[in-house]
Formats: sequence, structure tokens, C-alpha cells
Amino acid sequence: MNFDFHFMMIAMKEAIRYTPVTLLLAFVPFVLGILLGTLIALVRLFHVRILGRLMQVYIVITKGIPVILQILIIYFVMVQGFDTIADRFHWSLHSKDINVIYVALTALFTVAVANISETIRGALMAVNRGQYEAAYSVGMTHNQVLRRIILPQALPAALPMLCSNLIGIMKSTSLVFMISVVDLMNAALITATANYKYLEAYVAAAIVYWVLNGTIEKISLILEKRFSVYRKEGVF
Amino acid sequence: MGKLFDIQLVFEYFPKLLSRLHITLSIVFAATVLGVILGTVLALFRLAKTPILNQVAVVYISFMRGTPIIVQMFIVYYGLPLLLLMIHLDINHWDKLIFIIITYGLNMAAFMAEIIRASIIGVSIGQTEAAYSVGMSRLQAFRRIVAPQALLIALPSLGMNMMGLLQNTSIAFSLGIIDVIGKARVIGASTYHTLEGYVGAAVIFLALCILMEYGFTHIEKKLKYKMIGLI
Amino acid sequence: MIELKGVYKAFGRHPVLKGIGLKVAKGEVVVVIGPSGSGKTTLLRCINFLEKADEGELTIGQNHYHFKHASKKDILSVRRQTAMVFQSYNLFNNKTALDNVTESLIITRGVAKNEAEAIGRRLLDKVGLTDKYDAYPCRLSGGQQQRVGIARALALNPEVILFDEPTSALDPELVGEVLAVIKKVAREGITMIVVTHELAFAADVANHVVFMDGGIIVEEGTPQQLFFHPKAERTQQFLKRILPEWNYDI
Repeated sequence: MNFDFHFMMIAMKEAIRYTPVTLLLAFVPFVLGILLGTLIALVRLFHVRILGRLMQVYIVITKGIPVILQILIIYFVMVQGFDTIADRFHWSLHSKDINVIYVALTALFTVAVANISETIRGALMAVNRGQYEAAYSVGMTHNQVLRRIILPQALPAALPMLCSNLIGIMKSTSLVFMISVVDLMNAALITATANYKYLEAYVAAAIVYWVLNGTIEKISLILEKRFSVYRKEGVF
Repeated sequence: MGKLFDIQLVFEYFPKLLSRLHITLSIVFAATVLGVILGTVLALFRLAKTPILNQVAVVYISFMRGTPIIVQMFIVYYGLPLLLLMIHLDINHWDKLIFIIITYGLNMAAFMAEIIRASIIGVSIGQTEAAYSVGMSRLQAFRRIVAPQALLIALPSLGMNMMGLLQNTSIAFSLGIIDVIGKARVIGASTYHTLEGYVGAAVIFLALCILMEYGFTHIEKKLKYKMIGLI
Repeated sequence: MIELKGVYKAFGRHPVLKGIGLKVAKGEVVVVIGPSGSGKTTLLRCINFLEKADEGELTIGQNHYHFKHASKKDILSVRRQTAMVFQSYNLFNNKTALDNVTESLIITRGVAKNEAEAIGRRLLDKVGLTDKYDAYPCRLSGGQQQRVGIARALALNPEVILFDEPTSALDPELVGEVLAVIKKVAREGITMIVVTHELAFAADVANHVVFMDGGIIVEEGTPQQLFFHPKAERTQQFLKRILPEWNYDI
């Protein structure tokens, strides 16, 4: 079998060099997703009129359409849309001046928000009704109940799922090479364009992704153990 | 280039896209079957803590869950023929669709293994004890008491994973498969109206997803009623 | 007849049973009482091999078993001669009340389906669940579930039925109905070993009461002896704590 380990190492070095781009692509949508996702979850949970419905529709649509399609559609809309508008207003700016990484970030963010808000909604619903009732009964306001009682219980409970969301986003970032963002995947593939040793390039990329996601999973396990210990101590 | 987006064209392309739907569906179906079979085997290795095989299963599952499926797809596509060539099996002439199905099946197996394992563990130990106490053997207790309840626990996750699989098939086009999205790209390449094709494809996926979700909820309800009498 | 000899069981380095010997004659009702953690439940679970005792012997009728060397076949044979009623009922969630009773008859005893169902209906009638044949466990109250559990145990026509705190998980108002059923069964001359905290019930139905504490049998005797004239100090303390009013009444 002619698998070129030496070349795989070269590809891996390139992949690692561009890993910060992948991390950026994963963490920015993740962090922003938690912020907006929590809001959406609250809006849905408390049945805020119209907005709650709207968010539900948004989530169904985003979760129903494959990530790659969303990336491609957003890419087209942003790039072509920009050109159309630029033409109309006679701007000197052109779509090719936009860094595609913003397109990628926008697309990944759209997807991440939907998934994360579902995670947080699940965690919020898992908090016992009695907690709300007890908090209201001692005279807390709506906001206090959420901030002081519910969210502090729901967020730790959501951690393992959030980590799995993060892994999902991390894997989705591998698709952005299709709109020619140079991330770890694309960097590995570019090294192979000269000699067609694509297998080596893909294996190199796989290993880097595996290590990244493996680390997230480890952290998730540690956090989960930590919090489950707290929970046990709380009961007894 | 003309108009940015022509809704008329979406309707025009729609039948053409639908004509490739069977490819998408057959990938989902074949990969699920492959995944359930392989996943069960992996789950049993894990549950029985078979030495070596358990560790192999752990590493396999971790790899499959920790790397993007597009990477797995190309590794299977380029790597599997190389690997099988070592035992003098030439599969280079195989249809690309087979590589796709193998990839998605292997990927599904990893997820299924964890689902099956978790749902078997999820059936309370009291159920097994009660089965033993009335004199059932291990196999009888598993087949008649544990497995049916585990199926019920596993069903929602199975549904979620099949929907995930459906979404994952969307990248098969990058290997040159002309499924729904592949067709949208072909149309786009010849007419310069790619966006309309993509939107059409998005609608198809969305509809399938909603249908599947509805179907699974329905099956779950039916099964719950049939198996534990819950309405 | 059931006989236990020198039953020893440890969880890790913590011994739970330290040499238990017990004889139960045919048709006898033995009630085991004692504080939590005294090893009562573990003893029952060892008899049914839900826990594997480290040392000791078990005799059921003509058959002898060594806990340590019991083979898979031995375990199955013991389980087919005994039945258990669990604290948390453990009805098969995926079977109706009737199926819970008939399941083991059909698949472990090879009884024909219609015959098994006849037995099942008769037993459910006996525990007062005539109208619940087709109800699934999640549709039954705790008391009803436990009565199905008793019917399930009876169906096997075992040498002995082991009751593991059968009323501890029940709401107070449901305890009565279950105890009544157990009493009814006891009067029919079925051999039973009952672990319970219901002392009044024990005094009423038991032929023989065993007081366990710290993994040993501290004292045993007839209900009259044990409840009203306990010899060991530990028994006296336990009874005083649990039934202070008895000191005044008698």
C-alpha cells in the first residue's frame, strides 16, 4: 500500500497552521449562539406572542435545511446581492473585496443559534416546576427568578449538550472550503493539489479534527462529572 | 446575469430536482440498515466489555463522531480501494454511490452503537431482576423484557439520527453524485441560476425533514401505546 | 422446606451478612424485621440469586446448592422454585397486567397460552383486579401494581415467595389493600419469607419472626415471644423505638 506518511505530515503541518481559522469559525458562532440562543429559548418558553412563533419557524427551517445548502445560499445572497446593490448605487466596492470568512461566519452562526437555542430550551424545561413556584412564592420578579434560580440550574445541565453542539459546529466548519475559505481542511487539501495525494491530506485533516473534538469531549466529561458531584451533594 | 433571484425558476427546476430524490432516499435507507446492523455489533462489544474489541469500538466510535463526514467520505473513497488492494481485491471500478453508502453506513454505525448501548442501559435494572426472579434466562430476559423497552427508548434518537443522516447526504455531490443537490449544481452550471436550484433543494430537504419528524413522532406514539399502554 | 446455612456476603470490604442460618418449614410464614441496613433485603436477594452470596448453603425441598459454586443451571433452577415480590413492584412495563402474570408461565414453564391465561385471570381475580386484565403498569396505582406483582409470583406456584418490603414504596392509604392480599395468600398455606416494617401485620400473619441486625440473626421465635417477651437487648431497643406504645398496653 502506498500511503505517503511523509507527505501526510507535511499536510498536517499546514492544517495545524490554519487551525486558528477553524477555531475562529467554530467559537465565534458558538459564543454568539449561546447569547442569542438563550434569548430565543426564553422567548419561546414564555410564549412571547408573534416573536415566539417566528423563532419557532426559524428553528424548524434552519434545522431542516442541510448546512452546506445554507452556506451556499447565504454565500450567493451575500455575494450576488452585494454586487447588485453595488451596481445600482455605483459603488466602487465589489463582492470580491468581501472576505469570504464573513460569509462563512454568518452561515455557521445561523445554524449554531438554532441548535443551541434548542439545547437551552430543553435544559430550561428540565428545571423542575417547583423551582419556579418556590422562587415566585418568595416574591422574586420574573427576571430574578430567571437570573438567580433557573438559569444557574439550567446552564450547567446544558453543558454536555452544548459541548456536543460545539463539536457539531466544528465539524460543519469543514464545509467552508467549498466557498474557498482557507481553514485547516482547505490548507491540507491545497498542499495536495500538486501531487494528487488527497488521501494523505484528508487523513491529516481528520487527525487534527479528531484531536480538537476529542479535547472538547474530554472537557465536557470533566465538567459533567464536576456538576453531577455538586448535584449529589445538594441532595444528601 | 440578469435577476438575482427568479421565483419562477424555482418552480421550473423543482420537478427536475425531485427526479433525483430517489438517490438521496436510497442513501438514507441503505446507510441506516447498514448502520443499525454494525451499530448493534459495536454496542454488544461495548456492553459485554469484550477485551480488545471493546477498545477498538471505543476508538472507532470516537473517530467517527469526532471528524467531519466529508473527510470520512473522501478517506473511504480514496483509502478503501488501497486497503482492499492489499488483499488483492480491486474495487476501483465500483460505483461511487457504493462508497457513499459505505461511508454513511460506517458513520451511522458509530452513532447507532451509542444509542443502542444507552437505551439498553436505560432500561431499569429492576426489569431484569424481575425477569430473573420469575425464572427467565439471560437471553429470554433480554429478548422479551429488555429489548422491547430499549427500542422504545432508542426510537427518538434513532429518528434524530436518521434526520441527521438525511442532512449529511447533502455533501454527497462533492464526490460527483447527482442527487438533489448535485442536480441543482448541474442546473446552475448550465443556466447560471444556481441560487434558485439551491432554494428548490432546500425546500425539498425541509419538507422531508418535517415529514420524517412527523412520521417518527407518530410511530413513537403508536409503539408507546402498543408496548406500554401510554397514550 | 427451605433451609439456609452460614450465608455470608460482603460488598467490597463491608460485610452485610455474617453467617445467617434459617429454617422455613413448608407452609410457614416467616417475617424478617430489623433496622435498615441490617441485611434483610440482601438475604432475600441472595436466596433468589439476585445477589451472589460469598459463602453458605441453600436447601429447597430435596435440592442442595452451594452459593459459591452454584452453576448457571443451579441458579435458574433455584429461581424457578422461588418467586419474588419487589419493593418497587418491577412489573414488566411492556406487558399488560395479565401478560405480566402469564409471561413466565408461557416461556419458562411451557404452559399453553390459553391455559396460562386462565391461570392468570384466576389469580388477578384473587388479588382483586378483575377489571384490570389489559391495563399496562403505567395505568395502575402502586397498590394495584403490587397486587399484580403478587399474582405474578403466585402464578409460578413456587416453593417459596420472597416479599421484599412489599409496601414500603406505597402511599399509606394503599398499604392496606396489599397487606390484605398477602394475608389472604398466607392463609392458603403458601410458604413465604417477608421482609417488612409493618410490625402489626407481622404479628398477625407470621408463624415465625426473625429479628436481624448488623448482618446476623439476633433473635427469632413466635410473634408472641419476640414482640412481647424479647430476650436480647437489641431487640428490645428496636421494638421500643418502633413501637413505644406497646410498653404501656401490655
